[in-house]
Amino acid sequence: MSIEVRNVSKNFGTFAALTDVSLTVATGELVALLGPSGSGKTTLLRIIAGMEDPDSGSVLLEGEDATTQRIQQRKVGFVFQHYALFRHMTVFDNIAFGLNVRPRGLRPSKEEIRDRVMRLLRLVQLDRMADRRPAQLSGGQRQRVALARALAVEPKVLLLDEPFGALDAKVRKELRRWLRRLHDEIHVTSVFVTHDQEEALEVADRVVVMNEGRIEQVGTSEDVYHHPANPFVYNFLGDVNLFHGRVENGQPYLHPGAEGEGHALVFVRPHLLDIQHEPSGEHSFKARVTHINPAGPVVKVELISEWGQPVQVNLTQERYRELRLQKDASVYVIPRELKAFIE
Amino acid sequence: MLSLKKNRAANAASQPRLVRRILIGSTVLFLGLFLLLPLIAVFAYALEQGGTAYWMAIKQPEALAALRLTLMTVAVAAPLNALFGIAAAWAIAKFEFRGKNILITLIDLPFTVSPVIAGAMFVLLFGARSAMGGWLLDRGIQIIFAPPGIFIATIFVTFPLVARELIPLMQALGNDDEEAAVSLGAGPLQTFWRITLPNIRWGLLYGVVLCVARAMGEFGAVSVVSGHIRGVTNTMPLQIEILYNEYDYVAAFSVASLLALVSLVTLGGKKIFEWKSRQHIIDQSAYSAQGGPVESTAS
Amino acid sequence: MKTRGQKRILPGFGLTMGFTLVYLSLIVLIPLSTLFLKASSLSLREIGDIIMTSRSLAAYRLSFGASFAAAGINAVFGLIVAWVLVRYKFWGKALLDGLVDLPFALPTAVAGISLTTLYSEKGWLGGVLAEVGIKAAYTRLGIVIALTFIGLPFVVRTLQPVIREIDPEVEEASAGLGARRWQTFLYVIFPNLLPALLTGFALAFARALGEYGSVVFISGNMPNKTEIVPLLIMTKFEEYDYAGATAIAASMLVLSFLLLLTINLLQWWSRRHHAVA
Repeated sequence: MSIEVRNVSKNFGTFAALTDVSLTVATGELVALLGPSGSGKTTLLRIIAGMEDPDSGSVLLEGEDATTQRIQQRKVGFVFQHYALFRHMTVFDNIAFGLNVRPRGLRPSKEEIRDRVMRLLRLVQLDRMADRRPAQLSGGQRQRVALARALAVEPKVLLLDEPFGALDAKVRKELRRWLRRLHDEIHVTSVFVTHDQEEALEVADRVVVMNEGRIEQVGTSEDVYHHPANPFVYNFLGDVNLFHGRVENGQPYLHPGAEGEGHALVFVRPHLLDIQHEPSGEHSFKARVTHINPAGPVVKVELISEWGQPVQVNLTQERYRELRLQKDASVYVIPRELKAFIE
Repeated sequence: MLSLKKNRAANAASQPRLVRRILIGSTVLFLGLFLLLPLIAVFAYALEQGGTAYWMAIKQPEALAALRLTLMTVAVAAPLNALFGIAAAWAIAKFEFRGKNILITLIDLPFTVSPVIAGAMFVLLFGARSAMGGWLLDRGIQIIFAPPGIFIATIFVTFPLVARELIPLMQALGNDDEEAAVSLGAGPLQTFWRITLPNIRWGLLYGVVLCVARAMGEFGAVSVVSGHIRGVTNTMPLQIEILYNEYDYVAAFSVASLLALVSLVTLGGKKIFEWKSRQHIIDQSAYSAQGGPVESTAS
Repeated sequence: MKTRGQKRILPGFGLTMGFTLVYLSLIVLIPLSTLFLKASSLSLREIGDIIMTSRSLAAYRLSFGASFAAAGINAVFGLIVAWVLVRYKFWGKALLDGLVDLPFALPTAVAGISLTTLYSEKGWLGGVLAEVGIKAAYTRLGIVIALTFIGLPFVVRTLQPVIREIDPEVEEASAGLGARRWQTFLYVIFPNLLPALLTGFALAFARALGEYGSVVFISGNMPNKTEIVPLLIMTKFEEYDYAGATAIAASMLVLSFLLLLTINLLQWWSRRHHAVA
C-alpha cells in the first residue's frame, strides 16, 4: 500500500513539530525517516499511524484519504521504540493478541491462529521461545517479537519507531541486516524512524532527512550521501570538515578570509583529504599534525591548519605507513573533492 | 551495583559501636513501646478471661449486628471507590489536560479533613434540619442516624485510597501497552480487560485492601452521623466504644481484636504489594536495558 | 479542561473524566461547600462569640499544644527510627519496619482503648508511671501519647526515601576533608533531610489536629482541661448547637487547608532542593 503525506503541519503548543511536510512512499518500499531528536520524525510516523492528528494537511493510504480514520481502521502495524510487549502474556499470546481481539465473525479459528503465530515465530527465528515471557528474552529477541506481533494482523504498512534504539551496538547491526532481508522477503511497505545515519543508509531504499520539522532531502543512500542538497544533510550524514571559501567560475576554492560576494561554505569529508609532505595542486594548504589515532580500519589524523582551524583527515593504514607521520610534523593537506554551498 | 552501594553506605556510616547501639536501642524501645505493645495489648486483654469469654463476646447479637453493618458499609464503599479510583487514574494517567494537578489535590482533599468534620458536613447536608434532609425525610428517606449516612461518611473518608495507589502506578506504566493494543485492533473494553487490568491488578488490590480496612475501622465520621442506635446504626468501632464505656473490657477488646487482625492483613498486604511491584519494575528495567539474557539466534 | 496536542487514540477520556468529576463533586466538593455556606450565614460577631468562649479557646490551645508536642516527639524519634531502619542491619528490623504503618492501619478506636487501658493506673505502663507519680490516662500527657502514636508513620515514611537517596560518596568526601562524624551529620546530611523532616512534622501535626478516635478514650474529655477541638464539635452536635459546631468546624477546616498548602510548598521546596543537590 502506498503512503502519501500532503502538506502536513503539527504544533505542540508553541513548538512547531512539523511544518508543511509532504512525502510519498511507494508500495513495497522501505523508507527511513532520519534526523536529530526534535526533528519531527517520530511525530510524522505517529501521524501516518493515526496516533496523532495533523493540525493541517492530509494522509492518503493507497490513494484514499485516511486523515480522519482511526488507527484501528488504517491497517498499519506499529512497532514501538521500547517494544510495548505485554508483560503478562507469553510470546505466543503477544503475537496472537491482534487476532484474538477480533470480533467473533472475523476471528480466525484457534488452529489458524496457532498456525499463523508459529509461522511468524519461524520467520523471526524464535519458534522455540513461544512459551516464554517477554522478561525472559534479550533485547533483540523482544524486538523481533514486537515485529512479529505487528505483522500478525497482516498490516498493509509497517511503521517502526527507532526499532533498534534500545539495543547495544553489536545486536543493532545484526538486527538491521536481518530487517533488510526480512523486508526483501515479505515486501510490506515500511517506514522506520532513526537518528543513526549509518542505520538509515544501510537499510533503507530511500532516506528522508528531516530537521526542525521540515524535510531537508529525500533520496537513495547514494543520493543523500554523495549529493547532499544542503549543508545540514552533508553535516548530518557523517564526519565533515567545514571551510570558508569562494566559488569562481563554478569551481570551489578554499579561502580562509573569504567574505561577501561569492563566499561559500566548503565541505570535505575526512576520507577525501590526503596528506603529503610537499604542496600539490591549487587547493593544498599547510597544517601541523596535533594527534594521531592509528587504531581501527582507518587512521584518524587531527591537524591544525596554517590559519588555525582544526582539520580531520582519515588515511588508510597503507597511506599512513607510507607517510611515516609524526606528531607536530608540518605537512600539506590536499583535498580530493570539495563540495561548496554558496551562502 | 546497588548492593555495592549499600555495602559502602554501611562502611561510610560506621559510627562508633556505642552510638550505633544507642540508636538501634532507642529505635527498638520507641517502636516497641508505641507500636508493638498497644497491638499486643489488644489481643492480651481480649483473651484475658480465656477463649470462651472471647467467643461469647463476639457471638453477642449486638456484636454480630455491628459486624453485619460494618460489612455492608464495606460492600458499598469499597466497590464505589475502586470504580472511582480506576476512572480517575485512567483519566489522569493516560491523558494530558489543563488543571490536572488541581484535580489530584482535590482527590486528596478528604485526607486533610478531620473525620469529625467530615461527619459534620453530612449532618449539615442531610440532617433533619437541612433543606435536603427535610425534603428526603418527607419522602421517607432517612440518611442521618441511619445506615445511608454511615455509608456516605465512610465513602468520604476512604475516597482517595484506591485512586492514590493507581494514579502513580499507571503514570509509571505509560501508554505504550495500550497504544500497542489499540494499534492491533483491540477495542476499549478489550484493551482495559486484557492489557491495563493485568498490569495494575496488584496496585488495585492493595488500594481496595486499604479501603476495606479503613472503612471497617472508621470511627470519628461514622460516630457523628450514626446516632448510636444499638443494633441498627452501630458499626464495629462504635460497638467497641459502647462496650468500653460500659466497662465491659473483655467484650470491647474481643471485637477490637477482629479489627486489629484486619489491620495486620493490611500490613502484610502492603509488603506483598511492594514485593510484587518491585518485581514488576525489575521486569521493566530488564525490558529496556540493553543486555538482558544472552542473544541466541540473532542471525 | 482540554487536551493539549496529543490526540486521544486511547478511548474513554470523556467517560472516566465525567465520572471522576461527578463523583468528586457529589462526595467531596458539595458537602464541603455546604459547610462553608452554613458558616458564612453566621456573622463574624457570631463566629467570634462561639470561638472566643473560654471553653473553645481552651480546646484550641490544647489541640494545638498537644499536636505540636506530639509532632515534635515524632520528628526527633522519627529521625532516629528512619535512620536506623535505612542504615543498620539488626535482628527484627523487617518486622519493625512493617510495623511502622500500624497507626495507619489500626482503627483509631482500637488504638484508643488499647492505649487507655495500657496507661490507666491499673494498666501495664500506667502502673509503672503511677509509682513515679506520673498520671498519663485522662490527662494532657495521655492526649500527647495518643497523638504521638497516630502521627508516628508520617515522619519515618517521608524521611526513609530521602535517607536512602543520600549518596555515601558525599559522606566519604566529607570524611576525606577531615570532618568528624557529627560534623558530617550536622553540616552535610542534616541540611539534606530538613525539608523532608519538616514535611513529616507538618503531616503529623495536621493529622493530630483532626484526630478523634484514639484521643477520645484517653483524654477523659473534661471541658477546659482535656477537651480537644474535634470532641468539642462532637459535643456541640450532641447538644444540637449546629451553629456552634459549624463555626468551629469551618475554622478548623480553613486551618487544615492552610497546613495542606504549607505541606505542598514544603514538598515543592524539598524536590527543588533535592534536584539541586
